Amino acid sequence: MKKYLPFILLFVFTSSQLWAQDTVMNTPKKKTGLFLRVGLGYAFPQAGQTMDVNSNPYAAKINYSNFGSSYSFSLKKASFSAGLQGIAGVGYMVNQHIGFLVDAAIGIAPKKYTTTVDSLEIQANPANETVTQQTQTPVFVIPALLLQTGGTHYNLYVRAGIVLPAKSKVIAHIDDQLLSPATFTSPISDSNVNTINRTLETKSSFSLGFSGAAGVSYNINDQFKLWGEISFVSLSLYTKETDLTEFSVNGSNMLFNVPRSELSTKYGKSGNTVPTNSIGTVPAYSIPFSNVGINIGVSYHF
Amino acid sequence: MKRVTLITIALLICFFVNTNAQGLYVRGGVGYSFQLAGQTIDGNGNVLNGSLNNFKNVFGADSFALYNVKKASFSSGFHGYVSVGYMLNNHIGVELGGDFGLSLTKYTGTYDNVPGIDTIPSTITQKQYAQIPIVLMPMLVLQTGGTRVNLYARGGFALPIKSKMIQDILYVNEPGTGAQIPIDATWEIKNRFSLGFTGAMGIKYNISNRSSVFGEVSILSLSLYPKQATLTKVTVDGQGNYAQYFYLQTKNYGNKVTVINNFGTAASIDQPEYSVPFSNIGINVGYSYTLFSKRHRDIPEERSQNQRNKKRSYYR
Repeated sequence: MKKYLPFILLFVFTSSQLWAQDTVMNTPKKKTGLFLRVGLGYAFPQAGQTMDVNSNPYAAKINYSNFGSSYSFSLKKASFSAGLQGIAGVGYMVNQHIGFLVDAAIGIAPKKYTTTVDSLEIQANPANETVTQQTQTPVFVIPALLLQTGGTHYNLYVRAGIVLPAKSKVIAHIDDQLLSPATFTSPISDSNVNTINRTLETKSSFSLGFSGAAGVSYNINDQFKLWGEISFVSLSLYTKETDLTEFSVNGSNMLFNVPRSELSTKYGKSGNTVPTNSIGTVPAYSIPFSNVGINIGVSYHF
Repeated sequence: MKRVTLITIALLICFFVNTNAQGLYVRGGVGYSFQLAGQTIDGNGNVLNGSLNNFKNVFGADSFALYNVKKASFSSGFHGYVSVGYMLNNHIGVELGGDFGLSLTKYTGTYDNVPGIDTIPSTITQKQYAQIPIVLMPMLVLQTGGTRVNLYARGGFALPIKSKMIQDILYVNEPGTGAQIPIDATWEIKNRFSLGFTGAMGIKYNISNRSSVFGEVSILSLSLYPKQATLTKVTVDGQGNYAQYFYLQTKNYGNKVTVINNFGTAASIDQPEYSVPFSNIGINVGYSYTLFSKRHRDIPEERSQNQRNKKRSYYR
């Protein structure tokens, strides 16, 4: 809750100013110049993927029958930019119709994707597995061109621009529950394993995306406008490196026992898969980040 | 049902446009699209665009692989575009467009030293492409409303009404594994309906009252999900059609499926669906013609009014 506080305060602050001005109700005159805007929105997965490169679903329930003779899937589309987001931006209207805007879209509560797998086999041992994946407060910078109808009270507007992913790390927690105490030889040797918990952090290469939105704004007075819009982001990021940051067996940290070659996986667009820590890489794959969102907020015009 | 509803909405927009003849325009153009937010590997772990060469150790087991992967989107390539639109006033309009794939990129993924038909080590070349896809696009249009030059933006939905894919898989067994006979299997893949989004920003130059040329940058954000794959043709050494002799004829895809491990004996199997990348960024140019416009009709009246005013001032 604490991490949402700055956004809530910012929103309340701007809103309270907005109500205070409302009593004056001057006829809006400002058409050009600098403005700031803040808002909140919710983004839904769009053009999302259902499975990753290893045919592992991002969000699904999988049940293996007789450990592999058949298995049932119930899977959903995923995009790692979906969820609650805050928007803060600065813009400049060149004239009544044309302007520029630079937004920062910050994931306040990104959607968490969970896949549960029942009755699978891990190194020939029966187990249940839960995988949760989520981005860690993603930040996207979105410079855009703005066109608006330039009405006195209401304005229809469209913005379109590029998406620069400034922060996009994906965290995956993999929790394995062995159905009976099991013996493992790799990556650690243990003869009485009940649970294995792993955390993997995946960094992405920089990749350019595109964004657009269509919305309506209402001029409350010369300074303040309310706005609401439907936006979309078209973005895929490509894996750069995955690091194993947690490896515990039966609740005890065993990360120090994991061979160095298995601590990190590097990805490339071309290369070879020689399994050594120095030169081996695997093919990079895309992580879905496209979304369609509904956003509302206020803007202040200087 | 969703498909019917969306097409009905699109047709209603079209009807609205036609029943209000004022500000009606048609436009057409061509463009080239590049892959955007594309995938490198599909949900089955297959390289969409590139190569993967497996090397064996002295025991015949996989030792390491050389790879080269690139992004792919099955809507990239040359496009044609036609639309009809209606400007409600000087700044706001609605438009219904149709985008047609004229010559789209064919993507090839090559694998060396992988199990082929009858698990014989083979080189597999998988070529995939979309077969003249058609995307219908109902959109909102905003423009700056200049007399000669107009900046405009359009944004709306992308409704894929035709999106069949062809997957051509060529198996050639490795040297030293018997006579090298190429076997070519062709699958036709139908996709489910899936809603996408599209937008564009561009500039329009009015050549005359009715004619204008435009150039724009457009975006399509769309993923499709396969519904069914059907084996349509199998040639051996380029000859005949042996599709009927293969066990597996149909693959059904869904998001709620039970997969039974009977591959190799069943004529039809169920598989979990995966996404097929269709997003792109395009550069388009074209021509727009205004069929009827209130603004254009007004211009002569404005002129005559101005002339009357001039005459009045002259006689004073």
